[in-house]
Amino acid sequence: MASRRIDVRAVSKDPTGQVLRALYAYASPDAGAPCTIEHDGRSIAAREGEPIALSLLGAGVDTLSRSVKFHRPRGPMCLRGNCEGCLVRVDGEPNRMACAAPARDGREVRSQNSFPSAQLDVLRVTDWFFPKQFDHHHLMVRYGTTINEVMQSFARKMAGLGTLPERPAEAPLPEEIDCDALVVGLGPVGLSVALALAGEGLSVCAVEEEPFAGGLVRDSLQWHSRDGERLCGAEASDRDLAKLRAAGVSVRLSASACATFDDGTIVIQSDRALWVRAKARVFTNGCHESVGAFGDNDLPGVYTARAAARALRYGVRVGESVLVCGDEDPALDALSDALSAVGAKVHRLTEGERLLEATGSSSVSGALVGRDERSAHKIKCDAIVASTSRTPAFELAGQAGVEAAQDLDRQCFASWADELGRTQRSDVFVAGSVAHGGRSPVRESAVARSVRDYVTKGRVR
Amino acid sequence: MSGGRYRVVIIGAGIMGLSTAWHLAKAGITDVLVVDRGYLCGGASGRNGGGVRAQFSSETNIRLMRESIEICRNFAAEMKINVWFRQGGYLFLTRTKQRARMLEASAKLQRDCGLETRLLSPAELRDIVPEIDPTGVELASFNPGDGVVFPWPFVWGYAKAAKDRGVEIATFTEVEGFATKNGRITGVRLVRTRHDAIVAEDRVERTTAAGPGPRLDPARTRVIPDDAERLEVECDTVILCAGAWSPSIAKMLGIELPNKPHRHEICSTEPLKPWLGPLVADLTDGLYFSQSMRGEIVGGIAVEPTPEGINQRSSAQFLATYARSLVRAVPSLTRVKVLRQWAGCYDLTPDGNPIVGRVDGCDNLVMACGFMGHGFMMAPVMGRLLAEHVATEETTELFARWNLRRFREGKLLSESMIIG
Amino acid sequence: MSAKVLLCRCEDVTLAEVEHAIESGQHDIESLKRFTGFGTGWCQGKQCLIACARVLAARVGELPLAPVTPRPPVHPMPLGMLASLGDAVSVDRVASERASEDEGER
Repeated sequence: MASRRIDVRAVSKDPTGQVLRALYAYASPDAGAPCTIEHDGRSIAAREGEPIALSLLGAGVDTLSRSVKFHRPRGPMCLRGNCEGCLVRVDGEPNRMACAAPARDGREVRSQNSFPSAQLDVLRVTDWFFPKQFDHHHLMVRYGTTINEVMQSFARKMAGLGTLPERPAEAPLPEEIDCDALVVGLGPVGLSVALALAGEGLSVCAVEEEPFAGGLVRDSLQWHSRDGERLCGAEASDRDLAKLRAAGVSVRLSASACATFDDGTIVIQSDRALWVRAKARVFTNGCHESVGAFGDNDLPGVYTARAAARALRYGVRVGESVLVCGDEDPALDALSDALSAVGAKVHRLTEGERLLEATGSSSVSGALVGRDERSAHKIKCDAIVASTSRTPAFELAGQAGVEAAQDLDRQCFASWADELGRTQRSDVFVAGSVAHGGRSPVRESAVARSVRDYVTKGRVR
Repeated sequence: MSGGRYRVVIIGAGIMGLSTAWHLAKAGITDVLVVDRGYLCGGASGRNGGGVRAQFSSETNIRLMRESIEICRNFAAEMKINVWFRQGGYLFLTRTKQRARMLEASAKLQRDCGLETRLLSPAELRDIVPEIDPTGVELASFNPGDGVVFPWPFVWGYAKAAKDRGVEIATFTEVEGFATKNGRITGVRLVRTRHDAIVAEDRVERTTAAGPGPRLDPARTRVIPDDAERLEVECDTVILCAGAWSPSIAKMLGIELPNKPHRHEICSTEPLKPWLGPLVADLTDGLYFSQSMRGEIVGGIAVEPTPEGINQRSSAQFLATYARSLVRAVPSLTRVKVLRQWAGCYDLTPDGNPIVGRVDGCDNLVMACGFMGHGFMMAPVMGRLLAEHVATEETTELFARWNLRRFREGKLLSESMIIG
Repeated sequence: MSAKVLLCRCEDVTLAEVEHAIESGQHDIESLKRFTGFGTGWCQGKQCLIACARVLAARVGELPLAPVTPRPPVHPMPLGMLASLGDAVSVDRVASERASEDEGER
């Protein structure tokens, strides 16, 4: 397959220079030392520390696994640890997300749940055998117990993704952290709340599941202003992060707050567990993004806008010919411009058109678009960016006891908070796009004061 | 359902209530209403580990469970829904000498009752599960006929079959009280909630150590709205199968039950290709785990002190305790990941045996609660017995023994093979 | 067109399957989740919950009041690391029972 690595020297059509700036910030040759990983017995050139999913994508490999029941081809879709598309076996450990596993020299990556390979899996017949759905509730129930038992024993063999690791791994001792406030999620809002909290004199631990801070700002392809300078998303985010560290906040990157309870929060940082006991918890962990509901929307080569932007930051373009569509979002225009700048042919939909179906056998080779099925025409492309509007990531706050409720305006669920970030739980606060209330934005400094009031006075009000 | 009259009202659309409803309908009693405060599978019937075993320490339980296992085997073909019953056996481990002696006695009794239970030395464990670390194990027992099911379709299967025969099932319908006359229940007062307006104990807890937090939007809290539909149904017989919620419902009738709800937590891992045959249960610390049909390792453990009361929230203590015990048993699971944890309520009685049958002083109330953590596996056979009891009004020796009055009379029973 | 529309990628749940489940009476989001299995896989609903809730809303008239109960963890956690949390968080009943048995034998 053709390489999708971007040659920075060949970047053209970049009048504002922002794409180059973004690329240089992260895709310059010194971003990570060259290394080699092995994928299904094949050597792949990679850069140390970059997500394996992008090493593979850069080498033209976009079909990484097969789905659990239908054995449909799957590949990275979100590139931020929120989907199952890139699950592979890494160094003997099943079900690692290739988008979250860093490349290291000699790492062994294997595709799962396919025979003989992820690109060509004969078990795909399941997909064709059940053209609409897989009705596992009523499969073979009409032919008596014996036949049913035979079906079950076959179904059991087909189930499961990876296989049990051959050997155990020693887990390092956990780290116990006590602090006034735990801030989860270092997107723009989390960075700002954490800084304000430190300014209020609180001891703050801030965790971010990605290996970098900045969230949507980092993945953006627009200019940001900091201290009177014009910076690209990555630079602006790093500037914010440096301020946070300077203010004395204990910052943990590559640290996922996985589960939160009344007595503490379990954070997994790389290969180690943290047990964080905080007087107050502040959730600023943003939103989810997905692709829309169109035919074969799970085909490898279908990405969210954020995934495509992130790939660019690692010097990889998701395709040579890319259809960019989705809910109205200015980021899509910036993304289209950036993809053009790095030499990709970009297709956009015209007024009234929509994406009906992705086509291709093991990854995207085209798209059916049109006003309806009768007027559909085919576009030849090797990647589709099809984002839906973002929806609040209410799950973690929900674990802490903050009710998520319907938001009829945005047709989604969001954590309930007042304009000061306070929730039903006096020790739990939310801010940013996790929270309900698109009309009355929760302001970071106000949230920080609520948290301070709670921590110092014991309770709010 | 719009008021009216039913021969039998069953409170609780869990597996026990639905199995009973189905057996009543099969016996021709279709004038039955089953009510539940939430959705199907919302209580313990949808939250358990799906284990079905005959390895118990009392003859009664062993014989009842043999019948339940037979029902499970034919359930898919008979009820036309897959429940993924798989007889991989139950492998019991003990790590102390005292428990090993109890296991020996139970295994002997089980063989006398016709089970194929055999005792295994630590070295022989690996013949059954090669991945197990036998270090520290005193003795194990294995019965190949035990197995696991997927609980949800089991509940749906009974519900659909009962409905097809005319039983009415009203979900999101909560009991608010009873009408009684001369020591009999004449009516059940019900309130219908919105589909999603259930009171979920696993979600919201409005107070913290620091005191009650602010209530931001009272309209959004999960309470029954004032304008909810309320109605009363008349009935001849009420069967109380509300599991851990039974004591609070019995209280509405002035009946104090000795059973108490206790949280029990479970978690499940990422799906792996099949490697684990049996359900493994460690009698010493209450650890159990099995591999579901989807390939996940599903299991739980007893966490002490278990708080009394309805509580379905998850805890870190459970996760850490379970993980520590599980990786001790199977070290290669260290890199396997937990995908989901949840909690349900055990319905614990002082003597580990259920409360079944009529209640003195409330002639037409039939109890079916206090099934500890194994109500699910008992339900297939208990449903038949309860339906027979209601249809014939005859009290068997078993129902006399399991009656509520034993606690008043001080005739407690025993059962030592309880997990978790 | 014969292409499948995947609402829940992790568990291979199609739009047709969700629609069929709603038609067969799964009118609340918790029941719909259990019946179709959406949200029970690798991502635990991060990708699919909204899509399925919107399909349900289109059929029954309004988005559910609340989503399905969010259960820990948000991201998968290795058992070995959970075990390592050890004494800070967990209890070891085997150790305590052995200790008390040893005491009894002495």
